Amino acid sequence: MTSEFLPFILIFIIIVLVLFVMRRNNVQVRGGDVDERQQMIRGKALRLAMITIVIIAVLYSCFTYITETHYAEDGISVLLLAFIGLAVYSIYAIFHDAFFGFKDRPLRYILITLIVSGVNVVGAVRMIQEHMLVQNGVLTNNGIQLALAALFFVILIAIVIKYVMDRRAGDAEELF
Amino acid sequence: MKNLKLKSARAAMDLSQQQLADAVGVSRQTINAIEKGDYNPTVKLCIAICKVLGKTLDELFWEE
Repeated sequence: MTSEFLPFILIFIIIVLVLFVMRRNNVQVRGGDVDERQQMIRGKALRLAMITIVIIAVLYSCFTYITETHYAEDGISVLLLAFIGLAVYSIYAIFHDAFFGFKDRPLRYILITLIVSGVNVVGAVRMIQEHMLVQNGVLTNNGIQLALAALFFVILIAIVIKYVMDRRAGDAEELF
Repeated sequence: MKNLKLKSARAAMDLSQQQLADAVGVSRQTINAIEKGDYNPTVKLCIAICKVLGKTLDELFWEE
């Protein structure tokens, strides 16, 4: 049991150490600048995501309890909940102009999100072709790539819609 | 409530929202939200805006 968790514990320790060293040495992450309004919006987004996760978790638990059926393996269930929360947080932040720092360039993020989504779609398609996604009516943990692809695709769509909206409306407002 | 005083002071200095935002270190959308009355800035940000536009807090942010 301990050996299974060892890699995760090591990764966690490494991340904490890196963050600690960065903070100690005042290392500035490029593109991480957010202003006071953006921080406030991010706080609201986080609360909204948390509430969404709790509601879905309760509903899913009740539903599986009533129907006495499991629809997904435990691992993918937890991850799907986290992904839904992440999607809610991202979409709220994107449409309130708080997702990107004020020095960030959305086009760069569109490209990165497109690549990540594309790579996961390829993996998901392979899982579907090999019939490893659903076994005995239960969504297996192999569905993680499909979930990741869906998450990044949703974020990508939100970024693109917001980008187009800003281009149409924002430019007119910008001057006077 | 729209902050037309801020908008006119910015226009008088021939600054775009983006230029003012860069000068005070916030996003263009934040300046836009302040002008539209959708966001109440902190005193720190108000002072920064006043310094850039050469106005006092009363002139820009006091509601009569």
